[in-house]
Amino acid sequence: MSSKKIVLTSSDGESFKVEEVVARKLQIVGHIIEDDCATNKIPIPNVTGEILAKVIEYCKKHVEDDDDVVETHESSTKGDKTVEEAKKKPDDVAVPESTEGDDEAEDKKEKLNEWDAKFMKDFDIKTIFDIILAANYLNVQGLFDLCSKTIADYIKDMTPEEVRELFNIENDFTPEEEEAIRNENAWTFEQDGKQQVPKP
Amino acid sequence: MDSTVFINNPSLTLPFSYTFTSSSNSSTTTSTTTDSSSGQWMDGRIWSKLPPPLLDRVIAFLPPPAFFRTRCVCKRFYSLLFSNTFLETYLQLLPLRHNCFLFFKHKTLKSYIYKRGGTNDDDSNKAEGFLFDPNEIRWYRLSFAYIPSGFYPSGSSGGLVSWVSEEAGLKTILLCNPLVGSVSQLPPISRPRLFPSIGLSVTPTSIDVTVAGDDLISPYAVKNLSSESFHVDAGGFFSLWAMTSSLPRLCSLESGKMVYVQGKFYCMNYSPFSVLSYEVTGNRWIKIQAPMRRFLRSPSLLESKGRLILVAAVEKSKLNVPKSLRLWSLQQDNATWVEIERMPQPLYTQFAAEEGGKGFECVGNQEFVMIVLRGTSLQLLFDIVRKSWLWVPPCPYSGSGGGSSGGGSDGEVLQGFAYDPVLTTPVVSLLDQLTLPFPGVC
Repeated sequence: MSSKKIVLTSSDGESFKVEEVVARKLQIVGHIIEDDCATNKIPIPNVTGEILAKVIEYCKKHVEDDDDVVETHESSTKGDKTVEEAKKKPDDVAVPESTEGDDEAEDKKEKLNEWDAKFMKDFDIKTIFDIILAANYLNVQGLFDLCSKTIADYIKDMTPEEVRELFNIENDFTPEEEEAIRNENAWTFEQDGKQQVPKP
Repeated sequence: MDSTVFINNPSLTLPFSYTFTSSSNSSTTTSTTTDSSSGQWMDGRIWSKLPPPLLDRVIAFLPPPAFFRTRCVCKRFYSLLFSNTFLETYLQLLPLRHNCFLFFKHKTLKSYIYKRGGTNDDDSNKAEGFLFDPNEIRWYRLSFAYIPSGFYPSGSSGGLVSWVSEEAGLKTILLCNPLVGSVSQLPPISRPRLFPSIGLSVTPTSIDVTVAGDDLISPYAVKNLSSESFHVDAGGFFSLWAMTSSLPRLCSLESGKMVYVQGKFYCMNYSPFSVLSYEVTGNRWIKIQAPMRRFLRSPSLLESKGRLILVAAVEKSKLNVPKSLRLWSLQQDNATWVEIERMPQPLYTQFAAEEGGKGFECVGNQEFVMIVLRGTSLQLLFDIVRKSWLWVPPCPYSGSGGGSSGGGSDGEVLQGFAYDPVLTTPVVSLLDQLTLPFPGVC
């Protein structure tokens, strides 16, 4: 396997040398590589070095995920394959012998989820905000969804007033409308559904 | 601006004028909010710059109760439930399931037969269900006031709940989405029945329903003779109860429940205990021997991660074997059972003391198994992956757990279904096509 390097340059001039297979996880970069531009230096004008470092760290960890990779049908027909992509064949029929394989894949996925949780836990909110914008711009779907889910987990127990405050959203309901909509969705506001009762 | 009158059932028309704009918000709001004591997260100066499409994706990740609460934030959030763009994003993320359970106060079979003489319907029992989220250990109350009187819940799959008419005869089956209050109706079945077992399997592109057993012979005598199946899918194939099949000899399907696992419906056969398996594509029934069938008590079938699980109490009184509650998994050969779990003995002692021999019901969803003790307000939650057992706080909305009902030996029990709340279930549009005036080609 060849070790071709791609140099990514951030908006503030910081350079990152990464394996091409990692760079392809940034789909916008993958498309540039796909267009077969001569240079191996790719500018990332909208992302700072601090944030780009985090995106690359995520992409290195998730380099084997299938969901983010740009399809390389065109390059696979070329004689010189620069990237070896092992396509995982989905086992439609579950054989008893493959239960260990399934458990192994599931265990691997769980460890990856643990890494994701730890990865997100270290950031302040400004960083999460910048990463979600960068992941959206660079089209790194897995990281984008991870950030979205992190924010969703944070707000999922909030009241509407708290959500408005967090996102600085104006309440454009009239008081009558708000009361009617709250009644319509009343089942989600009942508080005693989570009371703690000791064991019998 | 006059506000329209709202009813509790959500309507599919917007209560106020609102237009969806795909353009990003170009105005920059400068907020004077300072950092509050709730921490750095509460900084509207940062999050207010999040473009609406990205914010919508965050909303799409919310568990359904939180999503509906967020609809009270602003008109745009309220309207997301009706936005095709948002719902398409939501369906793409659907593999992130919110595995839940949905419980109803449910009269037993004897109550239905006994009640045939009387006309005292208690509608309040049918008007609500109780949603339990095992990830949050939290109960919610859902209204089902839009379901007509005379129907009881029979199953759940793909975000839909099936309801069956109580009247003996040609059963009517409804499918509803509890979150949005939509109801669709299946074509009537082809044979009169009294209390059949009903299996439901809904995918994003198909609906399969099987109705089995309990052909109506006389008001008080039932015989299990046949099953009939319904199928419709997005590929254009449908079969309106044309697939009929005979059940194995001498069957007794008492629970009314079926579980769908990898192309087959399974249900318990009673007296003596065995498991019946119906292969949908082959339209074929076979009987499977149950493990330790002479020593089982209160057996239940459930699906967990693509496997069929049997849960039952085991009481071998003659041997020096302690009583226990066990879980078996049906192997790939569709004949062999392997014991996969046993309730820890101290917990079983406590469990048996609370249960008092009145029996229990089990329902499973992915890694969770919920065990409902009859005649009490107690439920036990087992996590198959973490192998943890947890007494669940009782549902605060279901009233007294299990007072003995006057006049009947069988009281009300909480009957549960594996239920995955989903904001939108477009597969039901396949049923609307069947109501066209043209005769369907079977």
